[in-house]
Amino acid sequence: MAEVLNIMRHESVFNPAEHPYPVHIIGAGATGSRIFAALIELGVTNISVYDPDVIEDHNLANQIYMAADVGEPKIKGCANFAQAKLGVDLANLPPTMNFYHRRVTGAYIAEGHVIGGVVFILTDTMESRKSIFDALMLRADRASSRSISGSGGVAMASAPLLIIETRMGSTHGSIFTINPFDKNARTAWLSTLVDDTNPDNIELSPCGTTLSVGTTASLIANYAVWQMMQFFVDPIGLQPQVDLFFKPTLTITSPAIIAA
Amino acid sequence: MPEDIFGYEHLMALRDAALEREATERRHLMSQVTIQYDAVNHRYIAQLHGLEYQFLPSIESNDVEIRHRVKEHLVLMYQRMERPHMPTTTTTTYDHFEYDTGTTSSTAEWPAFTIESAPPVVEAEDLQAPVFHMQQNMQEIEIRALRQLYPPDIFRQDFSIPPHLATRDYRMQVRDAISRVRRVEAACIAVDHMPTRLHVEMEAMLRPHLQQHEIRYIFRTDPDMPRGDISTVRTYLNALETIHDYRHERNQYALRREMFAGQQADYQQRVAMIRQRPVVPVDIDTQEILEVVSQWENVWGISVKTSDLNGELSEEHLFIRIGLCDIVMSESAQTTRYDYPADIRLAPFFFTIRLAPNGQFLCRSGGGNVRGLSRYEPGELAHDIHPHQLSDSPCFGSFGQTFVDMAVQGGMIALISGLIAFYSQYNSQDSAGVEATAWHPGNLRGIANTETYFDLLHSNLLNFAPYYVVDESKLEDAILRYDRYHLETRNNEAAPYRDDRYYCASCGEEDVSDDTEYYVAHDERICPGCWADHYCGDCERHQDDCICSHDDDRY
Repeated sequence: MAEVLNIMRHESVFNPAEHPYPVHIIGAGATGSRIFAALIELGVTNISVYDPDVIEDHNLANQIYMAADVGEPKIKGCANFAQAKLGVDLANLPPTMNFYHRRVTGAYIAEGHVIGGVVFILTDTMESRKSIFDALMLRADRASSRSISGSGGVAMASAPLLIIETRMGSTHGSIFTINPFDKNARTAWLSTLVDDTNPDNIELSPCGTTLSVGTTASLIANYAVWQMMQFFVDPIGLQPQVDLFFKPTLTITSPAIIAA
Repeated sequence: MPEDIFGYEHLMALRDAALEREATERRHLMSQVTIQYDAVNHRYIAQLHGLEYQFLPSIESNDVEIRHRVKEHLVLMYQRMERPHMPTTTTTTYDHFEYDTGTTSSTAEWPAFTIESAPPVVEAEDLQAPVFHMQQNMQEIEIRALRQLYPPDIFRQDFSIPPHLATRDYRMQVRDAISRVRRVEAACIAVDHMPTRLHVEMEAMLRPHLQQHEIRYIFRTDPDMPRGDISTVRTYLNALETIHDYRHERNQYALRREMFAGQQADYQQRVAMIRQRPVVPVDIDTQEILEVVSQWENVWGISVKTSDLNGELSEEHLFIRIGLCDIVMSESAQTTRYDYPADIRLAPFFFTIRLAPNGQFLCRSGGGNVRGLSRYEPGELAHDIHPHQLSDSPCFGSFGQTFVDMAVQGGMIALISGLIAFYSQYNSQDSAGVEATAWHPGNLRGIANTETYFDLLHSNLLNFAPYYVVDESKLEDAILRYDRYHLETRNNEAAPYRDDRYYCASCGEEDVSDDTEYYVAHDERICPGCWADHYCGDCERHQDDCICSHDDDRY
């Protein structure tokens, strides 16, 4: 049996044993891999990670993977991280920790996968996020109608509890937290979607790839996990959208720095 | 299989010899019993070698029959004191012989009689009652508590659906009403362009499809509905009304949605959290139940087993049979419907609880699961032992949800305690509880034969399960006590008489009987005055418990 982390330093703030819900991480890139790491360190073990990609050397700068992981699937890199963090063999990872080397689509969800719990949508395109979102909302609608009418539909046990979606630029990012049963919240989130095929809407590096800064990803990912913690511990005041800007703009020299 | 040392036929011979010895001994003891009749208290006193037994027969009993039965009972008591009870752990029976393959017996021996004394409390020896495994499912309890935190409006309608779907029925009514108006107008045009000689046939064709006033309008036969002014036709007015209703409902839905959609979404999310929380396994130590419950004052016996629904020993369901005595049911209504709130004692009885692994519990009446002094089978044993125990299972009323909650949490001792409390009361304001007077000795026939009564109760507990504790002397004494109580109460106390008038539960003064106007809150009748002054018409609760949001002090 896998050893569980000693979480005495934060157990009084967040105890995962009191919230035994599944967590689904769809996309294990810059944000997704760091969310996975943060959840492991919190002591959460009921985690499912979905990603179809393979680790490349340029991923090492902004994702949690190690040089030895290059060439492996990203979900394998996550498993290796968990193994190293928990100090166990891969075979002895908690049975509730699952890794899926595949792309999650609306059809995949409609087949009955990604059941219940908190879902982090961290895929690389707006189109895929919307497709996943729509499929999860359909499941929530069916469960909701059954809850009110008492007949038919998918049981509440399979409906998503909470959707967390993040977007990231080089120096800024946004975290969206959506109650899947709230139509107004859904509409508000849908209105935030942009056309990411339009180059005016995305940041590109000189070589044409999207910009991704590890420290930015780390901040966004950990704030997203904090949103999940707040939902479980104190949902009042949970903000549906949080925008963060990180670019330092120090223009006034501090006398202390000059003296040093 | 153990070695067959003696052979089957030899063993049968041994058995027959033992039976003969027993019969001879019984006849000898019967001849030594002396019986005296106490005419003052109408009781028989039997004695045998210093052992005394007192019997109070029912008034109609036959003297010869009574004396015979008293002798038999006393001899049985004497023999039980001298001999140990049959071991219950073997599978050896009288009907078919089986070798016991368990650890308690390795040879097929006939149990030997000894003269060692045995205690009156019978317990299954050398047995540890099993542990029953169930899943503690608190979901329904939590959801029920959660519903109390939200306004009732969010449970009446699904605010997640679009307005046009929510008002679909109203839109259909509008469509149908407008169709009727157009049908009338089309008929008018057709009639206007038709030769007058064909109007009779035309009217015959239209009559099955149109109403009388529409026909009169089309064929200009009603001076109050002049052609050209369709606003005088009821069909048109109905259409206007349905349009008005639709618009009103659409606006109201939009308002309600704005007010309650957020709360409903929040409620749904919390329900999903409850439904997705894993169930917790619970182990129920039935040995502890045996040891604790058997010590209770009102318990004369208890037996437990885990078996399937066919009675085969397995781990599928937990069955607990509890024998109760000296239960006095008291009036629980704030205002009794009787002329006085009578305390009515029940004869000793037993009931059976069945617990499923998912926490669901049942207390079936049929199939011999409940036995006590019957109302409808005078003097005999049946399941109708209590005013709320008449149908296939007891009507627990306000107790019901509490019992369900105890069962899903695996709190069996608390559940048994609660059931004893349930049997210890009746509610004369309830449609079933109002019949409690039928169990008063003034209306109920006493035990026809206390010996038979004892034997049936006793054997039903002893033979029910391999794990049991039965206090025979306690049961016997309880039966005798009830017999005395029945006789004395019948002679000295009138049965409570039902007063068919109801009074307001709030003020206690206003008459709220069936022929008056009244409101109902938590199964209690409230007069209109108290309702208007102290209750909320929306949530139907007292103003102190109101959960609605009111802008003013109006309730």
